[in-house]
Amino acid sequence: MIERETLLKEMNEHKRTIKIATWKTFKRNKISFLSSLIILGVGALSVLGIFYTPYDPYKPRFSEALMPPSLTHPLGTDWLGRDILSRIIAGGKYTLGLAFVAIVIGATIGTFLGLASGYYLGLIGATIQRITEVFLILPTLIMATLFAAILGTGLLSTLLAVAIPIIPVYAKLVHSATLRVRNEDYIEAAKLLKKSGPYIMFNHILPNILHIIIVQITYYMGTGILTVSALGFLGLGVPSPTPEWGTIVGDAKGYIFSYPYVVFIPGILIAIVVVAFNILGDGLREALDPKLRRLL
Amino acid sequence: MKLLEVEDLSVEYHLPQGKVKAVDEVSLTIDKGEVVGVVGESGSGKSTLAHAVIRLVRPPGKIVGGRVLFNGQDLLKLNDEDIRKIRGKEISMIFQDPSSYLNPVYPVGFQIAEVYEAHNNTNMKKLNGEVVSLLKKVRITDSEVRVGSYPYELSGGMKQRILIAMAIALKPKLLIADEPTSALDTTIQAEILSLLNELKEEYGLSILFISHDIGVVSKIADRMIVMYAGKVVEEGPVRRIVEEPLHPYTKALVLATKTARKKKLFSIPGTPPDMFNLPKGCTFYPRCPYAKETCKEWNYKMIRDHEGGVACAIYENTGSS
Amino acid sequence: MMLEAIINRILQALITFVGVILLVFFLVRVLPGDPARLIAGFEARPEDVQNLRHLLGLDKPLYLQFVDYMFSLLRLDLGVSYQKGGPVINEILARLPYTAELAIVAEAIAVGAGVLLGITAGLKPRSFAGYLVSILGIIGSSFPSFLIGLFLMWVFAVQLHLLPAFGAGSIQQLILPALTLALLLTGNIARLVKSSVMESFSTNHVTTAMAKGLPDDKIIFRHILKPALSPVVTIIGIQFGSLMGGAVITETIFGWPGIGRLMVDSIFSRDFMLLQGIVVVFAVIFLVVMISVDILQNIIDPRCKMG
Repeated sequence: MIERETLLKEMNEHKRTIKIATWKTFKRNKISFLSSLIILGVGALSVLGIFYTPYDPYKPRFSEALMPPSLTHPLGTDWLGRDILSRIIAGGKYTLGLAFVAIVIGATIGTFLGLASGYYLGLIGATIQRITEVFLILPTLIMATLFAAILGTGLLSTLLAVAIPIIPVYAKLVHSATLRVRNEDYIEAAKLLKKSGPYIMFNHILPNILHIIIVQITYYMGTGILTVSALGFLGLGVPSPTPEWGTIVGDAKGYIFSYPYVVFIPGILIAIVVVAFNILGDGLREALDPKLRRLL
Repeated sequence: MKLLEVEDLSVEYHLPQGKVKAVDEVSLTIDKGEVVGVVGESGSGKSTLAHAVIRLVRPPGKIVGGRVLFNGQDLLKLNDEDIRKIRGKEISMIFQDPSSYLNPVYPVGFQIAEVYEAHNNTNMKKLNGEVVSLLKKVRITDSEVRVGSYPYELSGGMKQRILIAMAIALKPKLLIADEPTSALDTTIQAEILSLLNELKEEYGLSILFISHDIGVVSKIADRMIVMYAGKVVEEGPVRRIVEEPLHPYTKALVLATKTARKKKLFSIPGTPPDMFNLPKGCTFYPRCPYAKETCKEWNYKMIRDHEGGVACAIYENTGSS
Repeated sequence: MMLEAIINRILQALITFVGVILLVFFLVRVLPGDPARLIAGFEARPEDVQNLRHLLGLDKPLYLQFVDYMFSLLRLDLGVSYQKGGPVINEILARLPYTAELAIVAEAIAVGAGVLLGITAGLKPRSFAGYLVSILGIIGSSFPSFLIGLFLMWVFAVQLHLLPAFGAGSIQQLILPALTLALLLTGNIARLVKSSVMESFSTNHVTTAMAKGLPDDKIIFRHILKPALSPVVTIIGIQFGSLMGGAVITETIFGWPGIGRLMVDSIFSRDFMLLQGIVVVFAVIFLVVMISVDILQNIIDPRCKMG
């Protein structure tokens, strides 16, 4: 009994050491750490935007249209007299929120499919694979455009339009990862113990490929944000006057000759956040990859 | 004047963990028509030494001292164009793992023809005949067909022959062979060795033969150098080294080879040296069965006699230095 | 043996193609809005709308519509555009050359710049080229395409008045949209070339090439670049194929009359025959490009020989 206790204690100690090593490796990459701070910052601002903005982002005030940046309007006003800063703060929850939910949904469903097709080879697996390939032919934006076409504009439609093309990406990713892991000894051992398929998939395979999934989610957050804003820009996503960042740019592009602020600020913000996510993805990949991590 | 005179050659590697002196003031000579073997375990610096002779040491390695005199000319002082002219033509090299040393996307005949092309010997199309006869010379069957083969279609032994063909195409004076048989089966090993011997006779080749296997080296070399942790610890005629080894390390190597044949394994006690933290004094001290306290303070010195030399405190007061 | 492999590949592509058509066909049929009514107009009588539906074959069961469509595809008949009135295929062919022009020019710039930068960066990672590649890589993968397009337009058309902002037909009008696309694509190519070159650079056969006394330029081209070519060709194929689908955002910004813009228009006007036709054409082009890439791979890298 004592032996078992010490064994368990050692295992937990080991897990703790790995967690600490992961965190330390992650922190060591300063740019990556900085990126995560940027993301947290922008995210916090967007959450703030749910409750409060300096001005009403929807209400037009024609007398104050197209004013340059000033103390009262740090980023100026747009052609309807709406405060640009408020619009951007209010819009963050759409651009970032939609992207996040869409990617998580897409990743979850895709992971299920990938695990299933990777574990149960044979007909189910092959069919899922074939279907996935069909979806992967079309580039993400075109797929999203198509789905937006079907579903129309609006929050839910945009959400689905971005989430659905992500599913096959994850299905394929998880499928390959599952294939690599399924021949490991501990899987054989679990099978010998007559554990059921789903049990093995979720308790043995999934934890070992989780780091890949998480890293990919981080990378795809960037894609999600770009897709949401692209749809918004084209008028196929979150509709005006909702201040989704892409929608703002789409509406404002006619004013590029006279008043470029509205046009560029949301775009630059998007670029910063996506870059941050990509760098974060690199950092996470380093920190979570068991081979690259250096146990201190 | 000897064909090749290496004087106090030093090569360093700059790694994130620190600096390593892979080759530490090594000297050797090769005469015309002579075969000199360099023996040592992995990490002894023998392979780096071989690469350094024709300045093929790639970063993070760097040649940091010494001279390499080929027919009296210091190769280390030549400019890039001049050393390029020597490589492949006057001095050529073959390597350990022929698979990775051949370009996978070109036929082998083409890769051999490149040697001619590099030294301005006519254009590629006319060379087919030459390449075919070269293949015959290295005992590759079906040479007309094999000219167009890709490396992945050939066996290990054949690939090694291709490398040899490339090396002797322009009838060089010196061939550097870096563990050419280590990646091959024993039967193929023997074939390659006999091929090399043949070519040596026919072309009057000098060979610098590197290997970790003292048995293999003894089958082809006239003289032998034993390296440990970047330094030469013993040199001399093959016969003497194998029959009456002087340095404790050499003794261990010879013993290991002999017992391997008798299926009783002898391994050298201790662990290979940590090249980042070499012990002061004699580097072999930690593993030496004859070690004395004074060895820890011993300064490296080659003690020579008429046939060769040894770098060991035991022989300090014999011979000359 | 090569022929077998090609045929095999084409068959595979055909299956995928049918899959894509199926997907689009059913998706598009789910579009809310009755096209017959749209064409007939709001004042039309119900019987007229019914007639129109019958005429358009919209009252047949779905699977029959699909079969009809497949057959008409074989005749290269993509149906009739509801909104514009003419055959879909004519609409598409009218715009295709513009998309093709933009795609070819943009990809050519991206490949040229990307490969050159990538090689330089790969041989000297810490040089200016190396940093430029990293930056371009970040831009290409993280910046929204509308940002780049609008920015270039603002700098060159609005501020400097050097180039026209809209339209197509002249070389000047081609420059900004092509540059926008090229900026986005170059990064990917350059990064890939850089890493391939770096990997290739330290391989052993390069040591052999040096030992043979080969001059540097031959070493770079034959022994460093050529083995690294494979993944680069694939990515160029994917990029070009996608571009042929119409760079929707760039076309919108610069008013470039390509297929991408046509597709968005067809969505807004609920012209699903046109939308379908565009997707079909795009799928065909993309698959053809991918098959060509596969064939090219076989030629440049003998290890890839399928079979």
